[in-house]
Amino acid sequence: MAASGEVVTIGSEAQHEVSLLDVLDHVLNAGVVIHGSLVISLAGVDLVYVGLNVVLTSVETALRQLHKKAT
Amino acid sequence: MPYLLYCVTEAGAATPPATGVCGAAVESADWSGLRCFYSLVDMLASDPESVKRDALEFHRVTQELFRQAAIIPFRFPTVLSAGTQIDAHLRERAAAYAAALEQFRNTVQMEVRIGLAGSPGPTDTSSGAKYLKSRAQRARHLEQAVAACRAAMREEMIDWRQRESSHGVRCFFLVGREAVDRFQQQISQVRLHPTLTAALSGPWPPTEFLPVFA
Repeated sequence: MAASGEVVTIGSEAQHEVSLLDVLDHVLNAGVVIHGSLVISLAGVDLVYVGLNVVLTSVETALRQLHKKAT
Repeated sequence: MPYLLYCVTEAGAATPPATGVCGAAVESADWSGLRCFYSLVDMLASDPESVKRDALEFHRVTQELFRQAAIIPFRFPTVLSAGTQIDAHLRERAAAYAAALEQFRNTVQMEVRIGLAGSPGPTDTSSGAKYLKSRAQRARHLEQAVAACRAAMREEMIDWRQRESSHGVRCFFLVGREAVDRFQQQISQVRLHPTLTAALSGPWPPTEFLPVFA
């Protein structure tokens, strides 16, 4: 493993910006999803309330779900 | 106070940083050889800058743990309202988490994003047939690039996944922890069509290869 364990980005694009987007993408869109009992709010709107369970997910995915339910 | 979950590891495998999101202490709860790391966070702000800040702090904590051991990260933000729910969750998934942590103990995920260099144009729109031909050509270049990456990594990679993205293709390689440097060297030598660009990132926890935990 790379000595520092830090995420390394190699590419011809602006590396810092790519790296930041990669980090946020991984944090917000990867990993285990757990059913919980807490409803989180965004701008005063309850998010991702699915029946009696709540699936906590990234804000972007949550907003997509909201729009789907509204249409 | 809400419990913000970071990840699960084998108990005793890794030491977390002292503090995490919102400066809260990083604490842990054990169950059957597993350890779940969390912080008690009063409130997570929802404005974009705060989400970014907290997400980066979350990443810092999970990366520090991942540097030391295999982890199963939770998606940010995963919040439970009571500590007893952590115990219940670990109890429910103990076998599955333990199996996954053992399976991926010494592996990491490397990612290559392949996309179009610069703006998507020019696409020949002078006729429908030419437009479709132009699009097909781009798709071929992407396929060739993906094949070239896989061929270059065939000795190092344990497993492989790919997904289409809005800008091209995302390729995920499962490799041994000791192979990361070799991987980076070899992948950087892959030649791509001039219309394409590629960005390598990693090492990440192997989330693309984790089973779906029911």
